[in-house]
Amino acid sequence: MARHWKWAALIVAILAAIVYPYAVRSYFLSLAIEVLIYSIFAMSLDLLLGYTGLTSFGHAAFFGLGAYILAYTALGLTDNILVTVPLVIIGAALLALIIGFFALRTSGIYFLMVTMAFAQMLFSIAISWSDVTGGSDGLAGVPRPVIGVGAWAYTFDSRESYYYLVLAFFLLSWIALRSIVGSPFGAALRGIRDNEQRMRALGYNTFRYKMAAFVIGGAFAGLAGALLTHFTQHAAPETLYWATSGQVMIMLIVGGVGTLVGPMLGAAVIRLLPTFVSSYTERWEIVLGLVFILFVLFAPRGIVGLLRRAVEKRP
Amino acid sequence: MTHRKATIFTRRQFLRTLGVTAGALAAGPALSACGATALTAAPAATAVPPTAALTSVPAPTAVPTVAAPSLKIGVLLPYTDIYAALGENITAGMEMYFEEAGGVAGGRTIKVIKEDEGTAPDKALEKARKLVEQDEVDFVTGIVSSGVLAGVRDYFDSNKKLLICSNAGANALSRGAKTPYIWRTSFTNWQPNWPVGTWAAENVGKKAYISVPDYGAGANTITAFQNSFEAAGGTIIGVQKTPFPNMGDPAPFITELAAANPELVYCFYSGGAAVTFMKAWGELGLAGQIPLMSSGFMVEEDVLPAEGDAALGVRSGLHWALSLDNADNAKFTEAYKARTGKDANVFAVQGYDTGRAIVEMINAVEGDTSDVDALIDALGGISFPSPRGTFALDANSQAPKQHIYLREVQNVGGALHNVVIEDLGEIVDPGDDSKG
Repeated sequence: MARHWKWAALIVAILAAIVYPYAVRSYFLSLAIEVLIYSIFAMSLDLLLGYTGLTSFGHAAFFGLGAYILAYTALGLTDNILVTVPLVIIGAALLALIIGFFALRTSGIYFLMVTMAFAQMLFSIAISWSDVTGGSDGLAGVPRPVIGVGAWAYTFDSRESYYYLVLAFFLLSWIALRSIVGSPFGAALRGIRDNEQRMRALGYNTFRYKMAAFVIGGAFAGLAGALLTHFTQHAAPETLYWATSGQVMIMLIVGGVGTLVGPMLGAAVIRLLPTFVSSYTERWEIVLGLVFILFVLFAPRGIVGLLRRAVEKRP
Repeated sequence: MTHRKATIFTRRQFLRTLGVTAGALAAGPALSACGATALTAAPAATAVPPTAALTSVPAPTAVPTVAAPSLKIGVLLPYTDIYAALGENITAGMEMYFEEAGGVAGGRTIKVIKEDEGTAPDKALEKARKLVEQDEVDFVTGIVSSGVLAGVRDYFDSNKKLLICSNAGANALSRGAKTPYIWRTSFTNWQPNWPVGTWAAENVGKKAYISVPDYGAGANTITAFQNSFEAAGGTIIGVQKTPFPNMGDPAPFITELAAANPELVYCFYSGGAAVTFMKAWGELGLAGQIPLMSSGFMVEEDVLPAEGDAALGVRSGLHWALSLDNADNAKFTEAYKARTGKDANVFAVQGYDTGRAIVEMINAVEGDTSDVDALIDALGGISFPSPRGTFALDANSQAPKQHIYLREVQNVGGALHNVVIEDLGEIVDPGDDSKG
């Protein structure tokens, strides 16, 4: 029976997301677009952090690379997402392959440091190589995406149409990541997270599994970066900065690590809370800091953990 | 029975959990929308204009003078992170002028809505959207970081909304990336550097080494100084670009400068980097040995006390100086010190002038902000006496046409301050890259 309710809730949520643009003012539509994009980003990190146990502190590398590849191709080559999105995904996946080749030989705090170092390296390149990356000003004037060719081309130039495009990518990403974590491959990743030595003893080549997870996570992060760039029409070096990696990690911690709903909730809270708090006080970072402390102290499993506990405690 | 009851119960709980989850996901922004609108007392979620709400409550005929709706100014300045001090100074200067003007412009009460610019362009863009679309401000002012300015440029351009930039100096916004909807009351990065190049070649030395942080403003500094310095017969013997935003230990960079044995060093650092660089410059014994010149921000009043005696004798170009001798500056610096307890600095001046430019602009259109082109026309035509001399905007570069002053750091009555030693004349950005 519970299964039916789950499906019903899902359908209601999707319907609500579809009618959302008709119910709200344009500003809240743009907030929803950002929340959906950051949800993809956060889910992609959760595949590494929550399901495989890889504490990557350099996830901004893929996000930012996606942003720059998209800006560069959209400005110089084509703004057709049938070309740009595959390019972004391939580029981010290749970068993950390179970083993973070195980083996955380490673990724990060393893994964290190596991934962060790679991301910071890319940040430095983005700042310094101004002929290609636009330096500290980034690449501006990125057009909204086009799909199709010739007479069948459609431009997502209104905010509503772009919202639906992002929603479609979000749902596809969610379905894809859900089937990945639900597959035997996903079970192997969880096995690696819980006890890598045992998995190795069972005959799993854990390096390959971790690499696969790292590449998939990187590809989805790149997609998120590309979607953000089409929306803000600007690729900025800050997308590669360590603070971006930190922010997405906080989204996971607040939302709930090791689930796919958690990152979505975390992305919504972390993206929306500052927006509203900062309208009332200039010291909004203090409020945000207190929220994080409360979560770490009283809800180490995030919002999802709180909800689960609320259900279980009832008689 | 009990068994059935239990299943119904859990099912209900399950539904509730999922409902909360899905609801928060889908309607989270909408819910918070209601919260926000209720708290700010803005019109209800539908797009009812505030005027309609105001006039419909009392009987329109009964009240002879219906007060004009307040003038909503969106202020997007950094109140956190590395540029927070700049944001505070600009805000203090601007609010000081609004108070002097009685809080009214063009017959409308001024209402300032502040948002934090931070340092990340995408978040600042979101704040700009919030100000324009949610708060429905008449126009926006602020922006300290050039990176943020580049990030919000397309938004203001495509929405035909006026942005009066009160700091960020990226040359591009007066040149290739110019848009009719973004005007600056501050400076272009080219302005304080270009005239100093000529002066340095004529008065200090012909062999210069340049040291700047490796980002947009640093690059603008190099091209501007190099252009006029070489035109006046000077040679740039080396250019050093240090890591941005954190240069780390400046000692190796300074050693490199000293080893090249230049006749002068020209640099541009601001905020914490300026203090770090200047202190190391003094500790390595170079203060007073190699003539150091800079863009005025490096030794501006906000960082000078922290830099200490190492900054003595540093000569720099800027569009204002604390000691600048004019009646408006005397009045301004005194009032600012009385208000904040601190000496004024160039950012406070920019805020003050921005405040005045806004009031004059709104007065010129008699409070009618509905036509953005009329607003821009009014802004382009204003001119008034300012602490920096005369404030007027150049229609071509959409930035001030202003005098650049050559200043030297001296010990004035026990404290370090910038003393004007020469007026380098009125400098107008060429609006293209012809002069660096």
